[in-house]
Amino acid sequence: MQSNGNPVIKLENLTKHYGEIVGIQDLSLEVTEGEVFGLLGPNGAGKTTTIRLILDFIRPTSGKAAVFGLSPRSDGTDIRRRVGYLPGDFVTYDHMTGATVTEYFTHLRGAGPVKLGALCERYKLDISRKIGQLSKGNKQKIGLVQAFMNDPDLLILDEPTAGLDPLLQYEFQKMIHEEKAQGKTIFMSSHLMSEVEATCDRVGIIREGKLVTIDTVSHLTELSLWTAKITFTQPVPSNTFNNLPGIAVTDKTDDRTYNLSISGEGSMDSLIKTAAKHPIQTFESQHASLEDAFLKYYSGEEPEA
Amino acid sequence: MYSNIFLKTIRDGQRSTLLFSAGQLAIGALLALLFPDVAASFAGMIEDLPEFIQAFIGSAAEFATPEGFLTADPYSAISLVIMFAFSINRGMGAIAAEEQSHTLDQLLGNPITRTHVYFQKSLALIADCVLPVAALAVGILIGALIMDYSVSLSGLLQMSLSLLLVSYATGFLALSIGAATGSKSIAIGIPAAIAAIGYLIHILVPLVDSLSSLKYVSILHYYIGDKPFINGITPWHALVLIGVAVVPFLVGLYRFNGRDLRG
Repeated sequence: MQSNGNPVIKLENLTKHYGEIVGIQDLSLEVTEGEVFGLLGPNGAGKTTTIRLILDFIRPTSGKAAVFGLSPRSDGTDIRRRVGYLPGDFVTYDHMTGATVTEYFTHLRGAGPVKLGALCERYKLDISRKIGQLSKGNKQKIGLVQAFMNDPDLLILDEPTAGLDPLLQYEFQKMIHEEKAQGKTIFMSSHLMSEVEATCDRVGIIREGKLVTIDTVSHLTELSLWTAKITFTQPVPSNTFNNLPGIAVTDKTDDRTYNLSISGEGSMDSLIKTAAKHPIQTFESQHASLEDAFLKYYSGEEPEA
Repeated sequence: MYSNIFLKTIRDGQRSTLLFSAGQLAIGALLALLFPDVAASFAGMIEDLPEFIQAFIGSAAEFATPEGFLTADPYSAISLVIMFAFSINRGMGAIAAEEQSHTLDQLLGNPITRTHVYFQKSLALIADCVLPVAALAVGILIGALIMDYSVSLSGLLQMSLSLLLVSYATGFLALSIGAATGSKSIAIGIPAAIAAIGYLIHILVPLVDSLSSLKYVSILHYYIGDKPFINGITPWHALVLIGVAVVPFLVGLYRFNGRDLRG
């Protein structure tokens, strides 16, 4: 099922300051129904602050947020009735078992845990054990189970795969695709590019509290386009690639070996034609990943569209 | 037991509530058992003490009655301190401990308001304090029954009510300060200081004439200043204790609803 364009989350110039410290600044975005949206950034960039503002755990300094068209402040219960939430660094009541924790939250939500059995089976989770006796990964599974178990319309997941092994991360990605197929909306934060790339339709990259870009995953990876490594049989002048638009030398180990990036208006054709003026020993090229796009944003270079 | 926040909170504290209550029951029974022997030997001794000391521990005539004896101990001493510790700990645990252990976000991720959490936690505090106070009274009755003397039931009830109210006062101070600040240490520190300073003033006032007007500052004056076990509870003293619980309760609720929660 595709996104139908109705905004589920709408943030307008949302700003949160903690005294002198900027949590987030003028953050605006929309997540539409049926969409999987990833907020990508390293620790401390403002991802958790954004999520906590959406859920009314903290209040904005300025700007506003709306979820399902409602205000988190005045309509918080109506919003959260339709939300499954996984906090970052999930911790829960160590003295309780997984079964009693899920029972407790089921009562508080007033909705049946329709997916509980299937989720436990999927994650091979024994909910009869006390939370305090579980490993970090198994605690995270409890967090995921309680977020998904009531079949909510919107899932808000803060670093959902923290502590999960690769197999379970893959299982999580499959689950996100299934939820999306059912028309559910998912807003997740992550610092794992591979996770976002595998699950999200769109991604917002957040840096020091500011949303530096927001785009589809496919377009973002296209923006970063390609990288190339060329080794010449003999030294070539270091200014060889200087005048090629959109092409930059990212690394040069010696006068014979050049690492280049091709982005925006740069073209592979002009790179090859320029390089071919010199005798080439090897030429390697590959499509950049979202990670490259992400790192580019974090190094302060913004890829040109 | 996990169908709402109130019942879960009661369930979480169940073991410690039972232990505190067993302790209060044992203390009540022990002191009631000791009363006939101790009172007889102390009464003669107290008569020889200066008046200002008698004013502090109770006159010889009062001390010779079970109500006077039990007012001095446990109600002015060990059981009071136990109830302070119990209620402050429970009050602090209600919001501040949940917030500092990072489970409050998860709790409030459910379709419930902060006010709902606050009220359910407050109800649990109210319920939690009843059992240890009642256990103390039951222990006294058991001791008196064994030693074959009678205790004023009305006095015991009013003394218990006063102990319950002073426990609520310190407990709700801790709960509301915890809800207003999210800090466990502040939630414990301020009510504990108020209780300790109140205790000190209560002890010193009978000994130092110039401090007599200070007695109104002490929470203990409203709890036991008029000796509810002997004279019955003084209504306006009870109202002051209720006020010490209710005013912070309201301020705490307002602040809890208005502030950012700790992440």
